Amino acid sequence: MTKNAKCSTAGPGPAHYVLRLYVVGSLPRSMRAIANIRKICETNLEGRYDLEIVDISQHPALAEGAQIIAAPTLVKRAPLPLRRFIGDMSQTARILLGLDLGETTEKALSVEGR
Amino acid sequence: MTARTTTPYNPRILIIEDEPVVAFCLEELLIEAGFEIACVAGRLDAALSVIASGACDAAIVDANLAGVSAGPAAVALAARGLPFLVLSGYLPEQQKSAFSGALCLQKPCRPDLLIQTLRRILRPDPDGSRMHHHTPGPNT
Amino acid sequence: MHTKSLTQSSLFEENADLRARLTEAEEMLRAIRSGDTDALVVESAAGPQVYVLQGLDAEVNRVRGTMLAQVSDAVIAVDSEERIVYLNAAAERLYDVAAPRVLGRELSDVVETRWLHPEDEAIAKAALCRHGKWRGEEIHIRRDGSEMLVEVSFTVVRAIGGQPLSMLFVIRDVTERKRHEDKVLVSEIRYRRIFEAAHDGILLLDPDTRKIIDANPFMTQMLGYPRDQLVGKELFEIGLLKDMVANQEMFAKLKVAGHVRYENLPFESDDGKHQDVEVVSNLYDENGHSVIQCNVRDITERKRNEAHVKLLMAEVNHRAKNLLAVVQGVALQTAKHGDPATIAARLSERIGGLATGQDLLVKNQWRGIDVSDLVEAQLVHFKDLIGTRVLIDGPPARLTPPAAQGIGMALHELATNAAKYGALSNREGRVRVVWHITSAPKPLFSMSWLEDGGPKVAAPTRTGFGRIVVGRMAEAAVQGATTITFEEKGLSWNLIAPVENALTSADTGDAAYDCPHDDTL
Repeated sequence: MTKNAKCSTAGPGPAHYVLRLYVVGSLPRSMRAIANIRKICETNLEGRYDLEIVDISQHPALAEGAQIIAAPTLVKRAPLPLRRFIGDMSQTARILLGLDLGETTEKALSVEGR
Repeated sequence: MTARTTTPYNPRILIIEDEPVVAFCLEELLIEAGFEIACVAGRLDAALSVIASGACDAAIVDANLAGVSAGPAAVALAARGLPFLVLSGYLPEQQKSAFSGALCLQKPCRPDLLIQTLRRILRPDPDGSRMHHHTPGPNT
Repeated sequence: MHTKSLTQSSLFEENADLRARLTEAEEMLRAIRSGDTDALVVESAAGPQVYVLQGLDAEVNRVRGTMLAQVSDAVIAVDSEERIVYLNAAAERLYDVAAPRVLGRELSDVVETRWLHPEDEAIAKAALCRHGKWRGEEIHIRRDGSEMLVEVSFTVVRAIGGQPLSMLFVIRDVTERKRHEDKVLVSEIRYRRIFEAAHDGILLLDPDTRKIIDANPFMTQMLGYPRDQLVGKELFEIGLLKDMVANQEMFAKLKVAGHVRYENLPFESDDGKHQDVEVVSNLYDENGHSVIQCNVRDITERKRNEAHVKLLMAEVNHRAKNLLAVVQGVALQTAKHGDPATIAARLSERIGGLATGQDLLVKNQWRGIDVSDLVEAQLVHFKDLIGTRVLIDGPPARLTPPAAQGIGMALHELATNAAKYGALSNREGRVRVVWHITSAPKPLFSMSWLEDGGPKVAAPTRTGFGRIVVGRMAEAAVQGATTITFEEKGLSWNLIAPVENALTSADTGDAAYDCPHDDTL
């Protein structure tokens, strides 16, 4: 693995994320969740993520397949392991940690000026 | 009207024709048929003055005198109750109203037909209003 | 490999995994309990049901969503940060995106737009501020780069307190409609141009009311009425048809046949001008309703020409008949006075002379004929001698057609005679043809034919037709006098006539002998 000055040594390397956010229409938390997760992805996963927003009020059946019990729920489908997050995604630090984009990583990245 | 003997009646014919050859031939034809010629007039004004002076008893009228219609002559003749026939190069429907009702012969006209027609218009009316005597000529 | 460490590491992994899942489950319960969620999904016999915890009912939401999916206009909702929170199926189709992929993204990332006119931006912003909504046209650019013209309306959605919650966009692709409108506009302009510039009058009428609904400029000119005086009137009111009955007849015919033609309608305009017109009417279907178009053509000129042609034909006929009468006369006379052996030849010559005269008349359109032209024409057989044995001299002068006819025939006779018996029958004889005009005491035209050097001649004993031609006939043609003398040296012929009888007037070149007008017929 080539060591790039911009690359952090702490992280697991540039992986491609597949995320799915289950929301309900234009309800407030759902709307906030959409905005927040977008921001997180744009800031931390630029160019290496696939984010899908699923409105379970339009497609309730999709909730069943993913075993969703509440909305908003974010599911990290890749890289494994599967992870779930619930709420309006405003707790950025916790989300990043859960996505294995940990605090140290974040700090390092911001120091490197990414 | 000039005083004259009434028998045998010899009407004086006015020839109104501008074409010299035709005028000459008409004149000769009439003379040979025994008619007296009042005058040969090639222009309308000459014809009108002859009519006005009462020097003629009948006329042969060419409808068109060098571009001028002989209509006024026809009117003048009719006003005096003088019989006349019209010689024309125009078809009857092309003739002006002044000539309507008048006897009309087409040019060129057969000489015998002309004389025949002339004699006919000079014959007296059934009611005797026109007392013309018919003088038989050599060509009758 | 240490089996113990493997098992240990996998145990650790499993442990970590379980711990994570537990944390997750706890977190989920906490979130639900503390109201961090919008809705819960509950299993039921009919499948998973979404229960919204506050605010709108999920079912209502779903139904609304279904309705919006049916709508053919694109609907997009964005939050106060201009991030897409909703877009319907039509929007997905219009911009070729999938909702799951674009929800939460900024609108400007997803839809590229351009203002139709630069000033629109300011206007839209102002409208939004003042009224909270705007409707107008913009250019939106598709993912493949192609542009479409769209009609957009934005509305600001506010919370009960008045603060803006989101913005709603409804977008309709009007590219096709615009294209169609442009086509119609071009067609309309084209039609208008033809209508305005046509050199026939065009009237448009309503088939039900029978009233004029439009008239082109040529029509207003033709009829002498301004356009606003024509609109609303029926045809018989403007004098195009005789009366109401004729009007109804035309419309009845049109309804049945779809087409009516009146070849010749007399029409009198307001200022008393009389015209003849041809009217062709057609019943057309104009996009569902009917209209009648009348094309009105002024045929006054055409009729006048036709009448003139008729006149000319009658005139030609008359002259031809006249000429035949002359030929008849010449034939009769030639037969009467001539030597039986030579009648045919003489007649033929004379007719030739007549023909020459006729040619000159036609060439000069029955106007004046130049004296020297006439002389040369009748001496055409001796044209090589002109200048030597035949001398022609005189001032420029034009003879009237009757004078030309009479003098021409006389000249023909004189020439024939000279060739047979006179100065042109030998090799030395000469002929002089001269003419002049004297002005005092009265204007007179005088012409002479003088022969010398020919064989000795004596006066003829009989008066043949030729003698009459050069004598009485020539005199009658010019209302003048002729003399003919047979001197020892040769024949002399002279003609004198008043100028007004023989010559055309100098100014106009026209004789009294014009083509007759209507009033002479």
